[in-house]
Amino acid sequence: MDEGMHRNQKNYRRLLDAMSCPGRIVRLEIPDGHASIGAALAVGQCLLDSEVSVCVIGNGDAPALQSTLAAVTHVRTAPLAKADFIFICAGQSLGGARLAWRGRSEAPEEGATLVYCHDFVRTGSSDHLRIRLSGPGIARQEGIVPEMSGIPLEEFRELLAVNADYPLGVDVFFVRPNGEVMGLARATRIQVR
Amino acid sequence: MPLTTAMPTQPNLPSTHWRAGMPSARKRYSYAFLDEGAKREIRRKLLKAVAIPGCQVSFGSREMPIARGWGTGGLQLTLSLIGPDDVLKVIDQGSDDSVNAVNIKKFVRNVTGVPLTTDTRVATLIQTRHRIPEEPLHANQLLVFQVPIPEPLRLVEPSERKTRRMHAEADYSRMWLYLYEDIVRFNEITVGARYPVMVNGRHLMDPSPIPRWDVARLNQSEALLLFCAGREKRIYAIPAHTDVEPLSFEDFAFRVENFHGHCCSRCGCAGSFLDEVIVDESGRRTFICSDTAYCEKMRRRGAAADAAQEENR
Repeated sequence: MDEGMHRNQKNYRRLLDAMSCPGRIVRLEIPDGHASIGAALAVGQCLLDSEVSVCVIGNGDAPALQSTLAAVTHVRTAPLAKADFIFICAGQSLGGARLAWRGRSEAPEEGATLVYCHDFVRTGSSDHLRIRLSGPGIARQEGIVPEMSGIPLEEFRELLAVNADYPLGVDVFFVRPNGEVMGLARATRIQVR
Repeated sequence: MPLTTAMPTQPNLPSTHWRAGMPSARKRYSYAFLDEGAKREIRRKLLKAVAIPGCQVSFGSREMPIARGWGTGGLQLTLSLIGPDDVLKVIDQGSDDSVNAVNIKKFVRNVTGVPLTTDTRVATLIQTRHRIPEEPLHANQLLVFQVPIPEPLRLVEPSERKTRRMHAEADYSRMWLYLYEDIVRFNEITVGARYPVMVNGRHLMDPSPIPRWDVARLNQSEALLLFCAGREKRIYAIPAHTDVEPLSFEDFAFRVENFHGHCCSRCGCAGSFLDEVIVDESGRRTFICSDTAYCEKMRRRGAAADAAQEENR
């Protein structure tokens, strides 16, 4: 039990690093025996329990991830528009991000957290070179290029639209099966060139 | 004297002592005292606080083995974040040795076994009450502030519901008016500690009762700054490299404390925040560094430089 507890603590600190330094890649420790959904499960074990709700969308691993998350963390499932956490088992949310709950003006923190679980390396896209991230957590005033490649440009545009009414919005983790994670806080300014 | 201390071994207690035969505190409580559900909730809320710099996020503050108002917020954050790889430093108004700091340190060490330090550069996790350490922080450090009153608008509005709405609408006109009236009445902004700051150009934030000296150091910090009020059940944060501006007027700039040329009577430092202390019954006053670990380091450095100079002669 101690091993799992300490792994969750370490992984949480890395998620905190990822969210406080948007655009930078950190690496999670993956629990054994869960193959392609291991990294997503590591995020789930850190943050999910019966107090929050989750919605898993996408194809391929989505059913397996949903049932494993429910079994391991006892998290409740909820419709997309009401879920606290949305796991997207695809490179794109295909409009799903726009339906996510973005919080209330008096409680913007209620906005959902999106977790993209996808092997972005395989897409081979260099779209990330056209992106500039700036704002809190990013040292350079002129902005940085996100370290994770392969995320479709449309997805950045989608997030730009979803977070247009800051502080309302969603926060994002991009998770690769090898445990690499990149965070994108709603306060991060995204420029698409 | 080593600045980092390892977990001491349990003293040999006489067999008649009531604790004889009991497992250590580390074994009697879950790791870091809080149960995993409580930690998870605080961790989730903290991520949201980081994502919206300066925004107060409510959380379910737990009962702790110290009284509310004595650092339960900071302690809950520390316990939710800490792990076996951390090195902990706790300060209270700059001092490593005050009662509050020592008790919190002992408690965290007993329930986690992490090493303690007084060296700011060595610590990975620093819990503080009302000061920022003088030495520059680096990117791999977390600074946890204990906060008594998280709401900066409480000075002008007693209703929580109304202050929430004011934050939602970024309506801080009453705070600006409060500061303006201060200038009209006293020709000075009389807010000393808890000077309100604007974070990321959007949220007005209470930086906890740190002196103005430290307020300027919140801007573009290298470390992640975390704030937690246990009694008021609020968490907020400032990520590294975030714009933090104290409220000020074009024709009335923000000013920090002025020590009028005084320097520390122990280490001779003139560039640190100083405490004024009465040293004897005649009321004679002197100034010493508020950050005791920094003062000690400067004093040693000064002594070493003197010794080297002596040797060269």
